[in-house]
Amino acid sequence: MLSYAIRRAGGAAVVLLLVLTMVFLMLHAAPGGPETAYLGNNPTPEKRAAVLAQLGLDRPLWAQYLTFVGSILTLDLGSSLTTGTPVSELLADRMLVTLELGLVAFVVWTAIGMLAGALAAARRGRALDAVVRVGSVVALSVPSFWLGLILVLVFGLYVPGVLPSSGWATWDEGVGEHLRSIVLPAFTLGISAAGVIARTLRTSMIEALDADHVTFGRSLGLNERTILSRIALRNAVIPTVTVIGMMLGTFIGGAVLIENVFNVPGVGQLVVSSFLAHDYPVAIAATVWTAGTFLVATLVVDLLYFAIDPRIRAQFLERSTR
Amino acid sequence: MSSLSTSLRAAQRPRRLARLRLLKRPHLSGLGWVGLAFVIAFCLLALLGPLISLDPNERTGGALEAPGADHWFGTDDLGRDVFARTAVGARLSLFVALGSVIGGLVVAVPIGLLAGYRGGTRLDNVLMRIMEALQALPVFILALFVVGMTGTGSSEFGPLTLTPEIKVIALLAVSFLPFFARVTRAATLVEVQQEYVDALRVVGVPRRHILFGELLPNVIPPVLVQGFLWVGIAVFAESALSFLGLGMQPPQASLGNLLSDATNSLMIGGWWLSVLPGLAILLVTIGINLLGDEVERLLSGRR
Repeated sequence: MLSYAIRRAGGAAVVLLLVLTMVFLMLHAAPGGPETAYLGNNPTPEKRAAVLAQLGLDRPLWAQYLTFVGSILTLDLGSSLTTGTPVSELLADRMLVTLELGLVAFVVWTAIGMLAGALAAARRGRALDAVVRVGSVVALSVPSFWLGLILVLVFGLYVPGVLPSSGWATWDEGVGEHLRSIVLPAFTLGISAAGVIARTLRTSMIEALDADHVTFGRSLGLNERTILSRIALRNAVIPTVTVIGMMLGTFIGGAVLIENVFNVPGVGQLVVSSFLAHDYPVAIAATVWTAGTFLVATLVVDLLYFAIDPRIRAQFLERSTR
Repeated sequence: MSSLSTSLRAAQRPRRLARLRLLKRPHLSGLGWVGLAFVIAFCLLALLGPLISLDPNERTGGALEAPGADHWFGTDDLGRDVFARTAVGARLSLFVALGSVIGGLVVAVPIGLLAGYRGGTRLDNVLMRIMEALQALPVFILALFVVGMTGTGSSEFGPLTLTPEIKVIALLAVSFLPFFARVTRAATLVEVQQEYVDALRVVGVPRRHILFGELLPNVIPPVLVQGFLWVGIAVFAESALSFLGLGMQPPQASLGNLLSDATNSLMIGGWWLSVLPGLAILLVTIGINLLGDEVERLLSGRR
């Protein structure tokens, strides 16, 4: 397990380095170069030279690249150009909000999606199955930010006072208030992933239920509940974990949209406002954080995979002893 | 040699034809027909809507009129016809979505073919790591980067002028690359195991011909189905980018712009401004998902 984990973490580190390289290249490929962000309108040549020297942009590209990667790896992220606050401080507050929102949405919606998929497979061809099939297509198709707008409209205008339709209450403002402010953003953030998860689990469970060993189990007189939970679900959950891993991106990328709709002070809102304000130290840090979180989450799902499927474990051991 | 290659190709042909025949005689289920109807309805809105509607950028009524006979979808806070703006926005979304999916496929399919053909080698590894890195950057962040650096309007890159439309198409195409490349690679990995590929190699058929002449036609159907499914995702992504202010710029109507404009009138009761353009997006995303399921089912021969 440990050597597998180390190998996967190494792979993720390589990908993160690639992301850093892409960010660096994109900054330098932009017309005017990265110094444009630090200069006002119509800068004089002297001012441009001063900024270039101050930022070290007059040095060779490879030296700048090393400095850039080094500063991010040592978390020396600089300060915001607009407020002067250290970037690490700004990010620290914001990332807790985004992580909490993402995690709540992820846990709740994954559970709902799996439950719906499993129930639909168990009641295959009946009314509940039809409801789940149609419901999951609608859930995965609905544009999240539009759903968010509708919810803001409904809870802000038509039934005010039930749930806060905008903003974020911190833990200090009371546990109840805090939890209430998570409901709508988390609902909107995870609904499409739940649709995909439900569909995947339904399909793979139906396949698992058609297997010969299930018929054998039935003929031995195992009750249907045991067959569903102990045999079919355990086999069907593997492809679903893959899909859950693929859906992680929608939680992280979707947060950019949802935080802006519900005015949630997370990294997603920070990344949009900092880019639009040309506050590059903040924007770069938020971008790298987002990519890093995605990679770590993917890694966790990969390890989970390894933990729940003995076949994958066996395959890996076989390969590493060869 | 050429006769061997011809007979090998002939051996492949029945399978391809069988797949095509399934497409010609559609056995759509109820949900499949619903999907088809939704997709056609969206296309009609996008292609015919702008012809029969009022001017989308002119004041043609009072401010914030509710939907009625004069203005089917009502008017916005500037008195512009929302149906006309939705139709024009749908046309733009369809154009951007098709452009980005086709662009993504054109680049990603050769990458996936090559990675799959050389599966497990260093080349495969390098290509797939690059795709993973691209995937780790959500499309909105990639878009923020590009738009932040180049501005929201048209920008000049040497002799090229990049309009906002082209920028969004390119951005979406790049963000689709990892997914398309992965699907192509997976299908190629399976196809390469077939004996005819070894046979072609043995008789010395050039690699370029094996890849694009023999493997590509057999690998492409599942990839095209994925591409079709991604048209819906592209419509959503385009509207999301415009909603965040990164895509089309006002007064140009796009489905995302309409929704972001709607936030201004949200709390004074202009429900039609946010509900109706969003329903247009929902129409095409649901339609494509339902229809895509059907096509996938027909291709895989499942009943």
